[in-house]
Formats: sequence, C-alpha cells, structure tokens
Amino acid sequence: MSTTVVDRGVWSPRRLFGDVLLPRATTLALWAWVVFNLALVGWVGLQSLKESGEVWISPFGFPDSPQWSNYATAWKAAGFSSAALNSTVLTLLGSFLIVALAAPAAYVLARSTRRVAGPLTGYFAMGMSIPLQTVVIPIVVIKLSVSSFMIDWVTGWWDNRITLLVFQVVLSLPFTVFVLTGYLRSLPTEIEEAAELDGAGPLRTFLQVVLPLAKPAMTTVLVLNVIGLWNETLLALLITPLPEERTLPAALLSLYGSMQYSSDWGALFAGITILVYPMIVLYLWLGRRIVEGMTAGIGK
Amino acid sequence: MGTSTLAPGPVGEAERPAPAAPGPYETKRGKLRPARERAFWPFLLPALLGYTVLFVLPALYGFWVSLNKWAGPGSDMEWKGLANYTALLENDAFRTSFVNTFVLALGGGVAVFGFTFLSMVVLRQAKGRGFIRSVVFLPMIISLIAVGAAIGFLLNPNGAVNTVFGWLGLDPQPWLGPDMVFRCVIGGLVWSSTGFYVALMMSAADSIPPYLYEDAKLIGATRWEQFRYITLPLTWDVFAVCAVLWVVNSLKVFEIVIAFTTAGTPGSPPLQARTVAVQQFLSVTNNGGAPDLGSAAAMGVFVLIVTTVLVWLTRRITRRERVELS
Amino acid sequence: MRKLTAVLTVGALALSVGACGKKNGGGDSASASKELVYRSSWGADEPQGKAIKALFDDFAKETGTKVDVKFVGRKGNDNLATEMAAGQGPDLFDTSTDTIDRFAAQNLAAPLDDVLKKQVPGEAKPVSEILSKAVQGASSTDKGLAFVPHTVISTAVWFDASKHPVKTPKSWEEFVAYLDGAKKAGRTPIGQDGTINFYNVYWFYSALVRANGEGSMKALATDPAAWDRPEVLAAAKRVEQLAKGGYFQKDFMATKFPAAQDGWAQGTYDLNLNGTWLAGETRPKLGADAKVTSFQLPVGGKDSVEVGTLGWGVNAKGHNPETAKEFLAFTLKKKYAQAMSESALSIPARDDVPAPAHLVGIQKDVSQAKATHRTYDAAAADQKWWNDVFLPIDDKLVSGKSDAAAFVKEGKAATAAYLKNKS
Repeated sequence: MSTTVVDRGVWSPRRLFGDVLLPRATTLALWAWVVFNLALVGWVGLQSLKESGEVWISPFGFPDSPQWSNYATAWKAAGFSSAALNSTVLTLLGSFLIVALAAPAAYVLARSTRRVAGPLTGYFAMGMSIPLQTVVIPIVVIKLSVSSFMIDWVTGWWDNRITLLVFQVVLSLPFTVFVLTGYLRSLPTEIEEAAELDGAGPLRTFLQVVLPLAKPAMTTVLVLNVIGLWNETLLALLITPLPEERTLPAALLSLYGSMQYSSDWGALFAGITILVYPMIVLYLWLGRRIVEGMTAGIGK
Repeated sequence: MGTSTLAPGPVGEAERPAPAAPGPYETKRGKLRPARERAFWPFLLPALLGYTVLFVLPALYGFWVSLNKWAGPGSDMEWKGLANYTALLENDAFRTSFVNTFVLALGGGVAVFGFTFLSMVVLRQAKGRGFIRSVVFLPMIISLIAVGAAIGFLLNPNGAVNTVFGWLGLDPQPWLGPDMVFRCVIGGLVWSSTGFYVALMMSAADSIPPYLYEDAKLIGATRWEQFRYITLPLTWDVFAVCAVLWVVNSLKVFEIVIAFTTAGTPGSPPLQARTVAVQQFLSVTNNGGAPDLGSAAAMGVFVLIVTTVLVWLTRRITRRERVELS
Repeated sequence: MRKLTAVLTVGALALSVGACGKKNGGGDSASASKELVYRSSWGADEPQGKAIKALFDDFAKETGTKVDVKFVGRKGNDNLATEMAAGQGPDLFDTSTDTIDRFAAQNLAAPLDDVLKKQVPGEAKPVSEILSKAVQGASSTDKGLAFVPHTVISTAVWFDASKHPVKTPKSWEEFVAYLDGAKKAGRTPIGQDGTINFYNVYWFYSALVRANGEGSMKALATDPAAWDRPEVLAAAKRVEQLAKGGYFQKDFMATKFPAAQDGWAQGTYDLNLNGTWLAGETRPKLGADAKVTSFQLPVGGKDSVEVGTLGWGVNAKGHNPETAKEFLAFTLKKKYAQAMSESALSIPARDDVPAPAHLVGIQKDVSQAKATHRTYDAAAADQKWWNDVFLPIDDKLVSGKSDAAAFVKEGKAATAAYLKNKS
C-alpha cells in the first residue's frame, strides 16, 4: 500500500520537523496561550473581589471573603453610572451611524461602473493610513470652535459628546467602507437585478435585497465598530474631559489614577471588570459570527 | 463595457430608462445602470462629505499647523516654514520615539505574523480549533488600558511573573524598568493583536477546498509543506491586507505604553518606551504648559509619511501573481 | 489663521442649522456676574476634594453666588491650557509653584496683587499679612502674586519612628552611615518608586539646591555652561554614591507605582524621599500606631528648604474675575485652613494653623528656614527640557547606568543641543 511507503519516512529530519516537532510545539503553545487568556480574565474577576492588601500579598489566591463593596466603591468613585450610559449610547448610536453611512456608499462604490468609483474607493481606503496623530490637533481646534460657535450663535448650548460622536463616526468610515466594498463586490448581482426589474427603486433594492444578503459582513463591521468605540480612549480624553461626559475607558483611566494614590486595588480591578466583562459577554453571544464576514470583505 | 451593443455614452446612459425586458445581447451591467447609477451620489455623498470635511480637511489643516509655531486657538500663529521639522530631526527624544515606533512596527510585525503562520500550520485540523480561535481573539476586544493595568501587576519586581520565574529557578527580571518595559509593551501588543490576524487568515484558509490537502498528503507532504505550498499561497491576498492593517495600526500605538508606564500619574514615560504618538501627546498636553501644537502636528505628518512609505513597501513586498484555483 | 478655523467650523456645520443671531450675547447680564466655574484636578472622593467641595458650598450659601464645581481628576485637565487660551476655560484653575510659570507664559493667569489687599472675611487683617512671605513667594511669578494657595508642600526624607527609629542625621556622612547600618542589619534602607521619574529626580535636586540655594538647578535648563559648575558634579557624585551603594530596593527602576511607598509604609524600607503628601497617600498601609516623621536631606551648604504651594489661579480670560477674587479671600478663613490640615492631612497655607502631627516638623522647617527655594527650583517650567532632556539623563544617574561625570557631560551637551533648536 502506498501509505506504508510514505510512513516509512516518519523519522526523516524533514518529516520530524514538518509533521511532528513543529505542529506539536505550536499546538502546545496555542493551548498555553488559551489557558493564559482564560486565566487572565478569570484572575481579573477574582482580584476585583479582594481586599486591596490581598491583591499584592496573594495574587493567585482566592479572596478570603468576597468584597462586593469594591464594585460600589469603583462605581461611585469613577462616576461609572454616567460613564456606562455615555459609553452605551455613544457606542450603539455611533456604530449604527457608521454602518448607516458606510453601507450605502460601499454599495454604490462596489457596483458602479463610473470612472470615479475606483479612485473614490481608493480615496476612502487612504483614510485608513492617516494616523490619528495627524488629525488630533485640528480635532481639538474644531471641538473648541464648534462649541463656542454653537453656544454663541446657534443653539445657546452645546454638548461635547456630540462632537465626540461625530468624530468617532467619521474616523471609523474608511475601514468600514473598505471592508464592505470588498464584500459587496463578491456578492452575485442576479437577485438585485431581478428586484430592479420588478420595479424596485434603488433604496428598496438596497434595504430589502442587498442588506439581507450582506448580513455576515454587516454583523462583522457592526461588532468591530462596537468593540472599537467601546474601547476608544484618546479622542474621549481629548474631547470630553468633564466627569458627566466621560466614557468608560476614560473613567477607568481616571479611576486608575485616584486608586493608585489611595492604593485601593480591589476597586481598580472591579473597574476593569466593569469595562471588560460586557464585551466578553457580547463576544460569547455573537461568537464566531464576528470573524466570519471579516475575511469575506477583506480578502475577496 | 465596450462590448455592449447598447452602450451609449456615459451621459445618455444615466438617463436612459431601464428596458422592459433584457434583450439577448445586453451585458448585465448595461441594463442595470440607470437605477443604480441614479443612486450613486445620494448614497455616496453623506459618507463622502463627512469623511472629507471632518477627516481629510483636518488632516490637511494639521499639515498647515505644522508649518507654524502655535499654542492653540486664541493665541497667535507664527510662520516657521519647515523649522518644526528640522527641529524634530535634531531632537533626541523625538528620534528615539521614531526609532521605537519603527522597531515596534517591524519587530512586532514579525512576531505577530510568525505566530499567525505557525498557528495556521496546525489550526486547520487541531482538536478544539474553533475554541482556540475564539479564545486567542479575546484580547482584541479588551481595552488596552485594562490590559496594561492588569499586566502591570503581574510584572512588578515581586509580582506574579517573577514569582513563577522563581519556581522555575530563573532570575527575577526588572520587567517595567526603562530598558525592558518597551519589550513588554511589544509583547503585550503582539499578545493582544495576533488573535485578530489569526482569525482573519484562518477564515481565508477555511475556504480552501479540502481535496488539495488530501492530494498533498498522498504525495507525502508534511504539514509544514502543506502550509508552505497550499495554505500560504492561497491566502496571500488576505495576508497582504493584514500586513497593511498591522503597519497602519502599529504606528498609532499609544494607550498601551501609557498603561504600562506612567498609568494614572502625571509623569512622562521613559524615553526608551515612547512612541511617536506618546511623544506627540506629551507636547500637546504638557500638563498645563504652553502646548507646542506646530511641533506636535509635524510629528503627525512624519507618521503619515512613514505610514505611506511602509504601506507602499508592504504592498510591493506582498505583491505577486494571484494564485487562483481553476 | 482664525479665518481658516472659522471656515473649517462652518464647514463642519454646513449640514446643520443656519446661523441666526448670537444667542448668548455679551454675557454681561446680571445673573452671569455672580457665577463661578471651577474644574478640579482632585477626585470628588479624595479628602481634598471633599474639603474643597464644602468650601465652595459655604461660599455659595453666604454670598448667593452660583458655583459650578466639577471634579475632573488629574487626567481631566490635560487640555486645560488650550481650552483657557480659547476663552472656554473655568474661572478658577488648579495650579502650583511648579506649573504657574507655564500659565503665566501664555498670559492665562490674571495678576492677583489686588487680592493681597483684600480683607479675609471675619478677620481684621488683609491677605498680605495672613500669608507668610515664603508662601507668597512660592505663589508668585515675576509679575507678582499669581495664585492664592491653600496648601504648602515640601520635600523631605520620611520614616515611621514606630518601625525604624532614626536619629536625624546632621551631615551627609551620618546619613550614609545610617544607610550602611541598615544595610548591614539586612534591611533595604530606601524604597524608591523608580518608574516615577519626577520622584527619582528628588535626589539630585535636593542634593544640589539644598546646598546651593535658589537658581542653582534652574540655571541648568537655560545655560549649558552652568553644568560645569563644581557643585553640579558634587551633587551628582552624591547621587552616584547612593546608586552604586545599593541602598535602593532591588530592581527599583521597574517598580510599579506605588509599590515602593506602600512598602515603606509597611516598614519594608526605612526611608522614602518624597513630598508632604506621602503619609496621606499611604495612610491605609501605615497602621494605627505609625509615627511618621521627617528630616531634611543633610547636604550642608545653604541648607535651603523647599517651599511649594498648591492653590487657585484666576483665568485671565474667564468670565467672572471679580467674583473669583472675592472667593480667593474667602478661602483664607481659618476654618478652611483647619479643614485642610485635619481632614486633608496637608500643611495649610496659613502658618498660624498647625499642620497635622506628622507634618509639624516640616512645617517648622519651612517657617524657620534661612533660605528657601521653589518646587524643583522652577526648572520644570520648561516641560520639554524637563521631560525630554533632563529627566531621562537623571534616570540614568539614579539607576546607576551612568556616573556623575557622564551625567554632567551628557547634560551639558543635550541642553546645548536643545537650546539651539528652541530659538
């Protein structure tokens, strides 16, 4: 049998490396990595229930008696109630707006035969390579000018959270348009054509035919944007410094600062848990759907 | 589109109503153009305007600021030409941060994709591969501030990592000291972002038909060779995009450095660990000082140039004939 | 320039409402003049934050002023100078001896010499007689009083007498002898949070400026030739002696703040060179029977003592400068100084109110000092030099990676290069 012939080579160096050593070592490393990740997440949760002394003295032990009050301390000290509300509203509204703006644009860019479509797609993709550093200064300037302009001339009030929302949305457009354009190009056009022949206008075709077809990619960009906005820190620090305007990562950073001075580590870990666990739950819930649509957009 | 028998000029085309029924010689594109093309600008404009006005124009404005000396709105601008740039080139702190950023992009990139490729060798068939893929992706969704805060504890001189080192009979290391902390930052970054690229590359690899691997096994290819001659060539396009994404993201690294070094204190991270983004943040805020926005904007432009060059290089290096299954 | 900003702004708003008449015209209406806005760098739950909150509440009640106080924390004021320059800052801002120069350089701090003549409510004396000369000096720029202090800060070597009874060393030799003794007894004499570079620099700064007085370190930032002075090398040699002597804990440069000061509070290390806030920050770790005491780093020479202050400046572009000044006189009432001492555990700005027990010694050092200098000898005013040039070189010296001679040589060269580029 031919297989026995092949198997005889098991101990050749080439086979030893390519079939035994390399795969085994890698598998081992991957499992170690998995264990580390799970342990770290569990460890953070465990620390959040300890007294601050225990965090240092027995970093690996279980808490003597769970200190649920750490959560109350962290929640109050960092103003997490308003921060959680801000983060939730900004993240959901922002992610929705990003997709609402990017999806129609990506659709026409992917389908159009106009000569400008190609260069315009590239123009959006270029935004991915503009580092945030380049626009930080203008954003601070715009933030200050917009709020004084609105207060003095238009509405009589302004909320910097709106500025933050607008910039978080705009800065996420390039990546989202890029992924969606790639995905939509890979979709067959027959169903759309049939819909249009039935007399559906472009908007109806888009909403009722294209969006359902592109659901995997939509889910992916939506979830990636939710993750991105939930964790975004630099813009939040620059645009919304006031406690009631703060988002969770900014609140955590400020909690980090004040807990450091008072060495209340249990409460710090409670704060980390409040920030991290919701994302993990979301991730477990949506599971692998997150990554499914991703390559479809990026690779094809 | 020249093949279409009905293809008129672009202008007339847009106004022509759709034919009631497709004729036998029409191309797909030709017959559908009107409805879709009418939607072109309405669908595109909101995103295009927002992106141009609030992202591209500010970037150009940043370039303008970089040619001036300026402390911010309300103070006077003073024209300096390229002086901000030449001053940066001679500034040791900036040069160090620039080199650091470069090291991070290259060293981190080698590590990230090294691990990614190795994972791809085994992840196609390993037991529990779905589970592994989910869990290695996990750090990606966790805020780097939280990561830095938690890991900082593990890396303290008498923290958990050194405790484990002690059990193994190894010498404790000054992980957070100025000489090692940047390596820890790179390590943390590799740890938190590799899962993302593994996920991307693996879902590309999933679409490779299994019979290719079966054939390869029959002719005696090892798993490394299967990766080298089947998986990698067929996922090369995705890798090219991943490499660009990595370059772009690694040049923006900011939070994790702050979280590993000064965290909540008003201090400045050690020179050895500063990236350009950190250096720029220092010169924008300065904790109540007179900010030097011109110089900070010039740093941004430097990063943009480097990004462009690196992205171009990456595309050059990863460019190759696309391998397609026929 | 402003035109471009305006164009951008209008562009940003192109899709929104058309502008139609200024809404908040003038801002001179009667209600606006009795308002006071303050963004605090303290946390609302920190003792200082609570004391400040109570103070503002009292002021609001007694004068009918509307106060808008928010506790944004240390990170929350990162952009303060930019916002103030744009005319959007609060009326009152937190500042201190080592940061006021930067606000003053941008003309953001209103001159406050007229506050000195105001009377503190309920007392017969004006502000100028309530604050000591040293405290006024620490709160001034060359244009006169620039902020009104609530707290005095200084730097000293701290120990907990209940755990390590230290006999106050009178000379550098006695100090080193103590360190050697502690080391021989198997202890680690000094705990140092080495990741905080502005704590590491306390050693060189104290050695240089305590012996040679005001201006001796400031000169290093402005004149490369100052690095050649023999006293600079002498001070650096003392730091080198500490670094090479192994008196700090192992791997102290990699310590996650505040592990070292917490270790000091628990008695793991004998000494910690730090600010007057040390015992307040580590109070939960110190234990009930702790007896924290301090001594000045004994380096001889002029024996100059650091006097720094924390306080409130008035935003020169703020909307209610007169109310702000009225408030500042109000803050100096004895009652609030006592609150600063008793609940916030700091040295109050008024020296007729005693500091908490562990700070009485240093309060005396400050009030009886023959010579005084400002925090960091005002060398931190140029943040770029401080962060990019000086602190990295100092870190190398403290960590033992370079020696005194290399420190001087590098410092001179780097400062010269920095100054050349600055102009």
